Amino acid sequence: MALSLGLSTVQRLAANVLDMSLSRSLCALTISTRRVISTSSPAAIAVSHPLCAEPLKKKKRIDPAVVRAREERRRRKLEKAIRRLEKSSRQLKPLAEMELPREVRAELSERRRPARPLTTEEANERFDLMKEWTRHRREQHVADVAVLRRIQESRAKALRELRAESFQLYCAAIEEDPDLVPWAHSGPTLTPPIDGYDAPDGDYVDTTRRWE
Amino acid sequence: MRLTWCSRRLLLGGFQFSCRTLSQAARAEPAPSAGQAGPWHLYTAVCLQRLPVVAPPLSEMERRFTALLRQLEFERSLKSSHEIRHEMDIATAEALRASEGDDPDLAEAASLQTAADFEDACAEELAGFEPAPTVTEADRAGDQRSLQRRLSSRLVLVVQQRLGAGTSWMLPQGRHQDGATLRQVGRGAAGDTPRQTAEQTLQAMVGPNVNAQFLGNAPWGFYKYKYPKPLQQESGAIGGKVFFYKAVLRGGPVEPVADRVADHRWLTAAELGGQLRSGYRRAVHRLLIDHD
Repeated sequence: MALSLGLSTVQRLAANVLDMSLSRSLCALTISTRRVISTSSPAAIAVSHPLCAEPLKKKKRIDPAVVRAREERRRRKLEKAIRRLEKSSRQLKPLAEMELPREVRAELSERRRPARPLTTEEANERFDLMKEWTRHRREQHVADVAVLRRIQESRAKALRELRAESFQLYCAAIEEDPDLVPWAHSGPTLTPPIDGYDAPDGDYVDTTRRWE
Repeated sequence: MRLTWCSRRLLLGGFQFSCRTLSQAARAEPAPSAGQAGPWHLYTAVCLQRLPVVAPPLSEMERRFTALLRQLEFERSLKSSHEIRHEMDIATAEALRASEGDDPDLAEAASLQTAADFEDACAEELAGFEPAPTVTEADRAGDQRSLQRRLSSRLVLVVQQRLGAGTSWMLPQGRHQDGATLRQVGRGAAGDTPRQTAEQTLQAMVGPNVNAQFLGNAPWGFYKYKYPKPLQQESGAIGGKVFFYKAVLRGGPVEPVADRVADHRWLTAAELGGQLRSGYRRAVHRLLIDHD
């Protein structure tokens, strides 16, 4: 369309009107500044292919101090949020199993046992019994340690003798045994298992708490 | 044996080294020991144990202290719902008696199952269950061949093994064939480790269906004995060196093989003295836990 416009027509049009009409047609305007020799006076105006976009806005220069201040504010906000979250994770959460149930806590006064004061003899007896117990447990521990040390020495001796006898066998003996770890054993019970016992089926009520 | 550069720096028969890690020194070959009169035969023996099935009864000290702990826990506790219910039942019964049966609500409340009734019903149900006894028939009979004896102790398998013409009470023992010197096909083939020999020995003595878990590749005990003179000349060895391996019986039938084993017993550590020779017993005892 614009090729038909003469230079005088372009001069007469106001800038914003020109802009609007060009953007409606999604085209950009170029004015050539190269030297052209011609008999008539061409306007040297060309119109591009449709661009389907607005030309980008001009970037304003921001003061670096303002930029730094903005960064600082953003960082302080994030740190504050982190501190708030960490404070929450440092607080110990209540364990439902360790707390008294609501019903029990309501009737606490009725549930307390009458405090029966101890006589001096009873208190002394308890104290003596606890002391005896600590002595007994210490003796047990010392005996256990002695047994373990004896067994360890027996094994060390066996390994020494094996090494003196045959180095290859010794190397085979000190290899790790992958079947040994993990070691599992269900320990002794109060009564032995009953042969051929048929456990009766029972009901159970699932009281697992769910949070959804 | 090849002499490597590091073995020359080791003192004969000692573990004295300055800046070497234990594993490095262990893997270094030792210098050849001097003055060995002749070879020793190597044997592996298996200490097969049945672990305790029940916990031992409480000792006097333990009983007294348990009672004290129970008392303390009771004193420091709150009343349970069952106890509250019991107290309320008593109060209801009292109120009913005081009002002489006039109040119908009280009468109804008193006719429901009381806490005491509930306790009695529970006790009855428990009495209906008969647990297995901890002191078994085998204990009373003193049957040392049974695995059901002394359920709160560890039992060790001791066999009357056939050796040449005679027999001897010992832990199941088998000869270890050194693969490097003997090229043989079949049982005890070349390259067996002592632990493998121990496993084969156990299966040869008590049947292949036994389920025993061996505790590691290393031997737990050592015993050395000299052959009598005629046997020394015949076999060309001074005697035997026995390396004990420990195993835990996990299940499976223990069926002693008749042509290797004449008899077998399951004994506690304290009872071993009655069956084994003193030097051998001492070596075995050193590797056992004996306080039960």
